[in-house]
Amino acid sequence: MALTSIPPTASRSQSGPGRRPGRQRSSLRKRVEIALFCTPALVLYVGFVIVPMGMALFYSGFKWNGLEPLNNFVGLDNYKRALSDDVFQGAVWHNLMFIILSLAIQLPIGLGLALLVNRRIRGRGLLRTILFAPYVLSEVVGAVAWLLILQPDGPIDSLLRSLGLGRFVQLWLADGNLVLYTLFVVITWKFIGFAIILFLAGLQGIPRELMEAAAIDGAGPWKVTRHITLPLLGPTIRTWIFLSIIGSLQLFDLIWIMTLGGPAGASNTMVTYILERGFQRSQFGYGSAVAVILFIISFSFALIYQRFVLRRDTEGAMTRMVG
Amino acid sequence: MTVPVIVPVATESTPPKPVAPVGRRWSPTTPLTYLLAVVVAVFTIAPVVYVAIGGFRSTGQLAADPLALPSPWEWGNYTGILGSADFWRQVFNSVLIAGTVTALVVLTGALAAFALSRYDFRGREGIYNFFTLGLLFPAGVAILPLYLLMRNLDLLDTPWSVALPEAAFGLPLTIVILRPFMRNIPSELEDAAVIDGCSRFGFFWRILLPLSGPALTTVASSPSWPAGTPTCCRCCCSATRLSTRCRWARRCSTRSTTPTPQGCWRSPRCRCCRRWCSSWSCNGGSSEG
Repeated sequence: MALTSIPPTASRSQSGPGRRPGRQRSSLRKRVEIALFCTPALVLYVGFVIVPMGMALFYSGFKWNGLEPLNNFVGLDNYKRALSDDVFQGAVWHNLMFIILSLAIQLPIGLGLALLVNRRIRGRGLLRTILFAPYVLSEVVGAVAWLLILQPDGPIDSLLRSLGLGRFVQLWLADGNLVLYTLFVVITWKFIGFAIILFLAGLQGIPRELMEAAAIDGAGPWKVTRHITLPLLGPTIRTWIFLSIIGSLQLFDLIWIMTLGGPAGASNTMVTYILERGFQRSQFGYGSAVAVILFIISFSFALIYQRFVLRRDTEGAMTRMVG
Repeated sequence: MTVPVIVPVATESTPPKPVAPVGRRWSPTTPLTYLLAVVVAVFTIAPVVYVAIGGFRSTGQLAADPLALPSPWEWGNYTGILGSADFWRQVFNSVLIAGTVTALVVLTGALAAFALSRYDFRGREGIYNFFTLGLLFPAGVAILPLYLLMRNLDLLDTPWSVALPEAAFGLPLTIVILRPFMRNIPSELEDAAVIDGCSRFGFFWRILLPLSGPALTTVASSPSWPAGTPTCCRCCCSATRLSTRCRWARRCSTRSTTPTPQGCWRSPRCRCCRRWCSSWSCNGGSSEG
């Protein structure tokens, strides 16, 4: 790993070949520093993320129940089976729905709330705390709470009835046509706090001088938001979109606890499908193959997104790898 | 940075924030804003409050009228839990794991993000990409390999078996959040620090870390509690499943008699999760230790 010298300024530009004062000692020292800084994270990451995923890739070539010796190599059969399975295709479709719903609904809500709690209003601190509360709660606790609330003849139903809206009572989690939307409401409740945290952090980074200048020039609050705040928040928003899509692709805990992917697979996502096949039916080889497919989907998406959307924010981070 | 301060900032105490235009204290939209705030707050907090108050009611009361207040208030549910040694053991385990994960993630993540944001070297983007790759691995997928890995490392039934994977899976997000943040800290600060004789690490420790406060808070609050424990639960669920399926349990456990979730698996959330698992898994046998 040949090092170009590190200018004292961490400039945003890529390392240009131009500057290379031949001070070998300091170059060596910096190399050691970089190694020292990166090694702990790399060790942790390789050992407990990369290695297990490699193992999953390996298992995906076998028909294996998790216990017997690995000797039934089936090549790509597991992959073929998954791709032609209706239930798996349904799971992919559900993931897609969650992505679309997140972008169409969570993004505006998250932005609006971030702007709201960023304003000088009374009780702002309290409001922030409340909005973050679901996110800080464990997903499991949130899911169990909603499960209690949404159960048939539970509080939601009685609330609707007492308001005279009894005809809107539904089998919130047992109706195959409705369950995805019910889950989406819960997911929004749970994760909107993350969007708000992220957007707030981005808002804090916008110099107030800009807004004051705009205000002095006669821009109203709406114009300031539209033409200064939102554009400057762009990188944060794009990062959120990325994380949100990846998160939607990997949805699991909430759904697993609330519906187990049911009724009749109506709320299966790819990960619940993996666990259902892998653990419930002891098809570890097959489950691993589905996991690899999920990874390929996520990876392709990330590559495309990085290449075409995040490029200007991250200076072509992932695209660099493939040229 | 030489931005001339035109408007003297009135309130020094409040942190800098983008403010509404100066002098606007009351506008026609203000009541709307408050209304919206109240509605959102109620929607957000109602489920939590409902469950908290529901804890004061007996099952019969809950079934009779889901919306009513407790009558009489049943303190037994809470006192029973708070009085049990088991519960405090679970709390201790949770805190221990969450603390370990947070410390690991913040420390290693911040160091790596520092190297990746403020040094120029070949392979920097490669390493960064390598880390971002981790965002694409669903942790749920890695349960089985992780379980086997932990068994090989002889770490099963220790807090490490939860904390290490949690921290590892939290790293990518940490670095993705921290790197742009650290990169945007003005280089003039670094120049000034270097001129004043600060070392690289000194700059990191005394200037960059304190300035990264907001981002660090985000990072520290995100991985350990919310995203963290579910994976533990997942492992825990899988372990439960292994143990409830006696066929597996006998064959697969070489080291302990049954791969029962012990010790670290006993966090309240795992417990709660386990109940769901066992009510669902084939023969439903509970594996409470």
